[in-house]
Amino acid sequence: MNELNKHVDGLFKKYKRYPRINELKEEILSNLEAKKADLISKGLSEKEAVEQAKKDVGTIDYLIDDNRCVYINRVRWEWLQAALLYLLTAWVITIPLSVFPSAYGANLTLFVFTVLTGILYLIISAKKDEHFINEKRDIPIKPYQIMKKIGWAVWIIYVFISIVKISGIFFGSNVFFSRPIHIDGPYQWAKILLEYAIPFIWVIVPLAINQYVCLLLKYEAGVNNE
Amino acid sequence: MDKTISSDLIRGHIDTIILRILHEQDSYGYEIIKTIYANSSGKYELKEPSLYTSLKRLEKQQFIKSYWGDESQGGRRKYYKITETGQECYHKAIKEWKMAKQIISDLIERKGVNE
Repeated sequence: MNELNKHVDGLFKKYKRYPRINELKEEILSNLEAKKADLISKGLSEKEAVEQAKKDVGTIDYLIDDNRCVYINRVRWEWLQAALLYLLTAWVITIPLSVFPSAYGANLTLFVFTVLTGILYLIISAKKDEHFINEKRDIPIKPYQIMKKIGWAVWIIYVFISIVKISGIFFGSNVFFSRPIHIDGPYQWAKILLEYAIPFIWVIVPLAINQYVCLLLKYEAGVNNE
Repeated sequence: MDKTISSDLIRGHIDTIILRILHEQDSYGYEIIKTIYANSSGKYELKEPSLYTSLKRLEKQQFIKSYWGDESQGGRRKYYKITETGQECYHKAIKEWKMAKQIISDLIERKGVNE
């Protein structure tokens, strides 16, 4: 296998599963071979000709239908902003609740992620040069859309399991330990309600994924052929 | 003054430029690039990403069709052929260009000042 062959193989590595990819590969390879022959006939050495040909076709990502060319750093910036907002809201909600042990873990986790996201957001916000802001990248949209669905599904399952589990502990007490659970006073009630509410806080995870997909569509840059 | 045309100026016309070449004869990718280079007397070199994007768009709109050549060596080449709708589109594009050229020129140049 010659070097151009290897190069083109490398370009298509990610897209083995796509239909009609072999045709496109063959087309690009034969054009590069023609270019190489042409450059050699113009006096370049074989090595120089191959280098030039490789350089001129450095990516084929823009030719894959599912790919969208997006302003990647604008997506990141706005996404971090949204994620930060979600995290802050969730964190603030869990602060007063963190006196209950069951909410303490969630509150701490949210705090850590809020700080980390905040730092990333500040780093990205600080970069103001045009090249960074206008950086384009071809992004396959499909995996993100699948991830979005999985995100929602996982969250729903998580909420469902949590509810079953909590109900089991509270109300199955009578069955398993032959002594009913005692609810005496508002503190106990609040504790039970809180146990149910905590899983819902994590709705921010599928929401954040959702937001990322929306932003990919929002900051689509059109065809990336520069 | 640069001796090559700015890619910003030519961008919207690449599809038509390719249609023009295929209007003359069937051609394959690299040959199209070479023909454009020659037609512009070396003042414009179409880059591969623009070429493939444009060919893909034209094929999708059914202005061109592709078929495989029967080269015995160096890999098969994919040739493109203009369709009837492609011809119509090409002729329409020429008319549009003639009109646009006049208007844009009227808008940009100040008569007797810039010459």
